[in-house]
Amino acid sequence: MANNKKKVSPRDRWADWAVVGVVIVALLLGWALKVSAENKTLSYSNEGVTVHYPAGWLLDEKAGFIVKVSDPNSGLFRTTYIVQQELLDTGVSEMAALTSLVNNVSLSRAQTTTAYKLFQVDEVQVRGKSAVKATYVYVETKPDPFRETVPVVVEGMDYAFVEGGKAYIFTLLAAEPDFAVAEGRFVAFLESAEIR
Amino acid sequence: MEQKICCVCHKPVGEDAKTLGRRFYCDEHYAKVTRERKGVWQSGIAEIVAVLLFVALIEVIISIAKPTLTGTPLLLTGLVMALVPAVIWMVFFYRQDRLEPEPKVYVLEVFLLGALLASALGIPLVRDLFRVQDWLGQSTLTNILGSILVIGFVQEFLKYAAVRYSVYLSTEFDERVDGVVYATAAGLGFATMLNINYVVSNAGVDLRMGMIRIAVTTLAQASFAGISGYFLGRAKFEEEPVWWLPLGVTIAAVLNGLFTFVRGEITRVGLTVNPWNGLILATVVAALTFIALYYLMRRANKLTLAQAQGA
Repeated sequence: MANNKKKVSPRDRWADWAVVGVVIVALLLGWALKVSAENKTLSYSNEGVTVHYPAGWLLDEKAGFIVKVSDPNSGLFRTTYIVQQELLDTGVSEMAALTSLVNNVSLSRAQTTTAYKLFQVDEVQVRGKSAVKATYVYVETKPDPFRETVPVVVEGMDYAFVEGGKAYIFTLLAAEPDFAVAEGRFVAFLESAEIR
Repeated sequence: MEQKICCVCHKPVGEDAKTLGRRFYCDEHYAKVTRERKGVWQSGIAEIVAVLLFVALIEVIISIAKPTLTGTPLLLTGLVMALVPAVIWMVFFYRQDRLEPEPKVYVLEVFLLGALLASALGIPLVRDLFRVQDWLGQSTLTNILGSILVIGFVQEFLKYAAVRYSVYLSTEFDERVDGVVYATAAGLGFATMLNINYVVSNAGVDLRMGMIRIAVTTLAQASFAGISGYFLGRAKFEEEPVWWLPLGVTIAAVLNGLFTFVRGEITRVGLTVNPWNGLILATVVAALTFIALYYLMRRANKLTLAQAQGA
């Protein structure tokens, strides 16, 4: 583009590098601010369960769950964490009762959602104890009640476990493209919950 | 003994050559460096007025015709609106810069480079890598710092780079005020691409809201770029310290970030949005910036001339 370019003096070259250096430092500080903001949490206690959910998420106290929080910035379908307590069948082993509980929840979810498909039910370890994990998918046909939008494929994950003699289900729901990233934060949310 | 050469045209100059800082000038380029070029400033102020008149015109058309555009016509109307502020500036600039216009191709290339950098780096960095929309609103402090450190520095560095690594070293960049001219062109290119992205990502926009937002983005991006341009203009023709250019980019980034924050705060009224407040803020900021740059440039030129007469 430019013609007759002059040779750059050492001082000008240093000035160029200084600009680049200042911008890099600013962006590194910006990145640190982003990480700090994303990891900031708020606490909420209900029915003996205290959770630490991401700051900026919306808490829905009227949803009928112990906890329901959702991310208002996660696009058409809000990434959501739900904590609920369920009755446990005491006539069978703990793992059999948890598997039955997860299957029942799955059945009722299949009746209220579109194209529901249960992927897998596994025995896993969470919070240092045995648990049952279910993964599934469904289609949210109207993710935004206020405007016409395309349906969203939602991936879900339930962790069911017994603690203090009660059965709890921790649920993650996220749009399919966001699920992998959301899963890591959700596990941290699950592990940090305090149950009395 | 080392031969003295003009720092603009690189031709040999005599022993009695004029200097600024420790840079030598031939007579022709020394005269040019300190030229006032009132047309540059007049076109800047005219741009502000014309953009406001364009917003008023759209407002009148909306009030009278009450257009109900949808789909492709809405998208195309939005895209035309996104281009209008840049076209207005080009027209004013060339009408008022008749004495020695900058080569049209250079100004256009810097404009396109600004747009290209916005599209290739500016928007993806801020929106996809830093994802500022996810965390900026967490607290007031986070909002201010994030707006400066991420939005401000990314945008202002790219506009600075569009000038510094293209036309800056050419012989066409031969006056202090050229820094402001080319940086404003880069800022307008950057703003135009931000506006096109805004229109396209929303598949067309509400005409009133869209026009105001386009006007605000244009005025702000062009004015903050002008600040870096002032520092670039002086850095080329004077022996400024190493921290001079970083200071220019930092001032532009801080003002850009603060503007982004304040605009967000004053346009939100409860659960509704009042974009007119943003337009008033952008107009005041743009006018003050151009007036401040005009006086700073004039002062620098007067000092130079006074030194030359004293020597």
